Amino acid sequence: MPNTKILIVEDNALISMLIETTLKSDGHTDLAACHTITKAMELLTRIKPQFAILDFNLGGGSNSIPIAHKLTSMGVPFILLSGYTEGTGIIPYDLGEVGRLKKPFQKRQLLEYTRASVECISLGIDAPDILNEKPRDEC
Amino acid sequence: MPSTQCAKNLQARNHPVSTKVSALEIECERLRTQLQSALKNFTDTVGQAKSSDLDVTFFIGDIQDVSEKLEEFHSGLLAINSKLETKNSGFQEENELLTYANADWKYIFESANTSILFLDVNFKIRDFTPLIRDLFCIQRQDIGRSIFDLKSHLNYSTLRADAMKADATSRTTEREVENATTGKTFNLYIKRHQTLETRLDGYVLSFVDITEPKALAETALQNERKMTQQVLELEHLYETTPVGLCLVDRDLKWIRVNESLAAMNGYSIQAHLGVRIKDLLLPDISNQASKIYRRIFASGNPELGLLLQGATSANPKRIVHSIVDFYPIWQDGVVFAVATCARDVTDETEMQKHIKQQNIQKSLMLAELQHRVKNTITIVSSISLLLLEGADDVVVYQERLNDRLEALSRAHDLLTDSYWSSAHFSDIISNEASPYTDKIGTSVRMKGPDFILNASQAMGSVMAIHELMTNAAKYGALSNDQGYIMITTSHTVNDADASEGTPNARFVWKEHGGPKIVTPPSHTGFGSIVIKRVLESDLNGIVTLEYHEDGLSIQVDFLLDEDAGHSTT
Repeated sequence: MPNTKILIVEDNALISMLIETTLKSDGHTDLAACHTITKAMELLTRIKPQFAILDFNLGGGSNSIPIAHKLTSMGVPFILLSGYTEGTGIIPYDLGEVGRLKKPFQKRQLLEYTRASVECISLGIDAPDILNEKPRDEC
Repeated sequence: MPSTQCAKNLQARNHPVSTKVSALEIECERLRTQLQSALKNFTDTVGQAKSSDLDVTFFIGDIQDVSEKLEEFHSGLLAINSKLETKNSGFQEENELLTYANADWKYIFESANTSILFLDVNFKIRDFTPLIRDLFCIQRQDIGRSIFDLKSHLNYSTLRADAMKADATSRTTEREVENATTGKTFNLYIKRHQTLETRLDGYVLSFVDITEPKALAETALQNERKMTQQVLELEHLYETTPVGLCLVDRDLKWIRVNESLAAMNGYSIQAHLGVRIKDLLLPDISNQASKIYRRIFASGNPELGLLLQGATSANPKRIVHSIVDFYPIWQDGVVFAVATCARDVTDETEMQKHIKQQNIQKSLMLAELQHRVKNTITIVSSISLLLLEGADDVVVYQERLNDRLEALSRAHDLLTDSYWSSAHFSDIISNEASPYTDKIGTSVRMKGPDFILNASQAMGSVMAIHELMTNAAKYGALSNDQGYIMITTSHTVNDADASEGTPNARFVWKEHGGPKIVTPPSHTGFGSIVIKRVLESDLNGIVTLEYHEDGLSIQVDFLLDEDAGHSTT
């Protein structure tokens, strides 16, 4: 498994640490974690991650839509992480079909998304279909 | 006319003829006797004649004369007799017809369905129809008795006076009488009965049962009263109902308006009558209404539940929302007016809007709540994973996990108290120091201004302070009796000088008097990682962590949220 550069944007430190620990357990050690839009945008001027995991709600009423747009323009695949379900759906659809992972996520799900993305990268193909699948509602 | 009377009259009329007949018969008999005696004389004379032939011859001549005369007389008698016989058979036929007529009359009279009583001038009963028995205790044999001698069921005492009045005026007297036994009511008509010579002959009393018609009349009267009352009620309802009602004619002029509609339009009822809609209503609502009225006059179809919106002169600034029904009123195949029923639903509309907003608010809150719950579960999941590092005893692991869950729960309590908007920094310190209650104020000391933290800052602070307290109790200033923790807060930058995002608040956690630190501990434990990461992330703070020989020292510089305590995050 190649060591993939993964960007994590999550405003809650404990959840960020959960994602990091999960990814590390699968061999991904090249991680960049940040908790604000400002820091994420600043980071993206310097590095180009191969994959990104974005918490939708970044606190203080802000969300990660600007980062999602930036990543789309850079051609970086990403998934959105959210506590909202479709029923309370607040995630806009102007981003097109975006892979979404619901909190609380399962370790297996997170790793599947990441692996699928990473495999596509190694094969040099576009974003994997799995990222465009709507996640099953697990209310 | 009573049958007996009729028969008597008939006899009276027959009398002269029968008298004449018997007189003739008597005469005839007398002549016969004379003739017989003449014949006897003749026989005697014949005997004598034998003696005197001459005389006989003369005498024969005389006899022949007499005989001729007698013959003549006899044929005359026969002619009279046959005439009389003809006449008699005619009378007999007439008499038969009269008998039939009398029987028919009797039959009709007996079966008559009306109560009729004949009285003579002295109020003696002449005859009656059977139904009279319902009113008087009367039998056939009572005919000839005075009516006043009989028992009557009627409440009636002025018969004599009424009869005399009928007599005097030659008019039928009318009187309402009641049968006291059955409760039935009758109209009594008293008519004078007179002979052909216009002489008073008696009275005819006819009783007409008016119980049913009277009851019907009474019911009709009651119904009329009820109707009048209902009309009044309707009128009252029309005037007092909170629904606006009116009637508009083909010229779009008001014919009728109730109080509610008048109030809605902002004019008196009187001001409406005969006035055109467009001359009274403000243009906006007048145009809407006129269009509908013209449409209904043209189509003749009712239109219900239409929504009209607009201000009226009642309050030009208030847009009234009304639900209006229009009904065509037909007369002789033409819609001559349109009735209108308008309900002001402005308040309801406002209420609906308000409820809609509330529902949106509610669904937003639900979404927010869900977000928080899911976040919290994820945090719990994270804590449980991070605590696994170096855990080899499940009981210890469970205790440590439970300890953090309690801290998380306390953070929730604090935030729930303020509707998830804010928490005081001092409250967080007090809360987290509570397991070491005897040391508050002595071992855990605070100095400086209190901070109001937003929800995210509060959450992070609770978790970090909890780890700091736990570590201090285990290894640091709270692990012996001499140590204490000094927490100093301060505002570092004047708001005016601060550039966007520059930290303006600081708190310093400094431990004193704990066991001397010879070598700083590794930073791999849960507590150490959480403290630094959480404070950096959740408070968006700059964290400086140092281990002095005297104890741990942490300085956190962060930006206070101006909106904290004013809105939810």
